[in-house]
Amino acid sequence: MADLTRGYTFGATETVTNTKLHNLVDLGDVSAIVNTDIASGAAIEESKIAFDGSTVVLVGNTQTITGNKTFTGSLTGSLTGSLTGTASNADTVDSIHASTAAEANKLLALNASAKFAADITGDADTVDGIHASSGAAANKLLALNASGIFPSNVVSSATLRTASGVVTSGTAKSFTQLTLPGGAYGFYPQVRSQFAGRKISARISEDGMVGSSYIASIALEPTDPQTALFVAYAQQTYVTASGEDYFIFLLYDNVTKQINGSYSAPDHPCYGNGDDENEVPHPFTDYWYKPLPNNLEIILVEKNIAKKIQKKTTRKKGAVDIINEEYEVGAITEFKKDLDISDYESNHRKLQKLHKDIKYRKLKLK
Amino acid sequence: MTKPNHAKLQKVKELAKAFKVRYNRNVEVFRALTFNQDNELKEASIHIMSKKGTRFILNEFLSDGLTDYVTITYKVDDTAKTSKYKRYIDAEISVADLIGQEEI
Repeated sequence: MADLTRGYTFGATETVTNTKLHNLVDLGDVSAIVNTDIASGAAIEESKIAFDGSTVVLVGNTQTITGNKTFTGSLTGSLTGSLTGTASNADTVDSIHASTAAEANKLLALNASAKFAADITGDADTVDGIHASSGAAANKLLALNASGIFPSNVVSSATLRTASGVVTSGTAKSFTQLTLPGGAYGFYPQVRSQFAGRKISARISEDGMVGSSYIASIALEPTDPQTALFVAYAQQTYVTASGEDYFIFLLYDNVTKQINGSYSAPDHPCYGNGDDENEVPHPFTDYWYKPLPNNLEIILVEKNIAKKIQKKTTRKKGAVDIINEEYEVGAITEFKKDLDISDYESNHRKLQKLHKDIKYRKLKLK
Repeated sequence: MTKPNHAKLQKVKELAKAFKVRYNRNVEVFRALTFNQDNELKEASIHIMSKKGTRFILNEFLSDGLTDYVTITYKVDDTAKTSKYKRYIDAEISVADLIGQEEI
C-alpha cells in the first residue's frame, strides 16, 4: 500500500476554508507505491520507467517495442525464442544482415543439412588466405583425390622429412653386424670407405644372430688385406620420426682404444626396427644375445656432446671421424632419462633405461 | 480591521468534542467568525474554556483563505499573555499543553 501524506494539518478546532481543503489535497504526497497499488490496465508510459541502473524491465510475451530505441552495453544471458521482424535489424550482427543464400556483405546461414550452401565461389575455398586446389600447385592447399588419397606425383624427395644415419666398422677382416638407422623407413643403404680405393664387404647379415622381429641390418667389413686399419661406412637415409636428440653408439675396445663399430643418427636404433627399445637396445646385434667380451664396451655418448658432434658432421665426415680426430673416451655420467625416442606414429617418449652393457659416457677433447 | 465581536460567540459542542478526542481535555469551545466586505473569512476567534475556568483565545487571521498567523491570548495572574504562531495547529497544541499544566 502506498503512503499518503496530507498537504495540510488541521487543528481540532480550526476553521475550515476551501483553500485549506485544496491544500490538504494539492500539497499532499504519495510515496512508496508498490505493484499492487497500480491498476492492471494502468498503461504506464515508457518515460515514467527508469531503464538505467539496476532496474530490470520485464517485457511481456507479446510486447512490441516501437520507435527508434538505443540500447547500449551488452545483451547478456540467453535469448529464448527468436528475433523476428522483416523490416528491422533483428537479423544483424555488427550491422551485417543474415542471409540464407550467398550474398554480398551478408552473413551466410548453413542450409537445412547444416552445411554451407553449394554455390559458394570466390574466396570461400581459402584457409588463412590460401586457396584449395585439386592438383599440386604453388601456394595452394592440396585436396585429396576421388579415392581419398594424395594425387600422384605430388610428394617429392625434398618434401619428405628425412634424416641420415651412419654405421661404421673398424674391425679389420671381420664383419661387424649393425642395425641400420631408420630401419623399415630407410632407403637402400649406401657404403663408402674411410679412404678412397679400399675394399669393403657389406651384407645384410653375416652369420649374425637376430631376434624374432624384422630389423634392417648390415654386416660391414673393411676387407682390404694390403692396407692399415681403416673404417667402412654404411649410410641410410630414412623418413625420420624424431630428430630431437642425436644418438651416437660406439663399440669401443678399451684395450686397443679403437672404435670397432659405431652408430650415429637422430633416431634411436629401435625406430623402424620394431620400435621396442628393449628388443633393440643398441645397434650392435652381435651382442644382443651373447655376452660382451671384457675388452669391449658399448658407449652411448652423452646427449649434449652428441649434439655438438652432430653439428660438425658433413657428407664427407661422419661422427666417428670427428670422434677419432678430436675426442677420447671420458667419464661415465648419470643417465637422466631425457633422450627423446619416437615410434612410427611420431609418438614421443623418453628412453627410460639403458641396457646393462651400455655405458653413458661423456667424451673429452684430446 | 474589524475586531471580533465576543457577543457573537457561539458555543460549538462539536469543536469541544473534537478537542477532547484529539487532546483528551474537557473544555468548552466558543467561536466567532468575521468576514470582509467580499464575504471572505478574515478572522476566526476560538475561545477555549478549561475546566479551571481559564479562557484561551485563539485568533486566527486569514489571507486569501489561508492562515496568515495565529495568536493565543490568556490571563496568568491577572496579566494577559499573548503568543503568535504561523500555523493554527501549533497554536492549538500550545493551548492543549497549557490546559494540561493547569490540571497537574
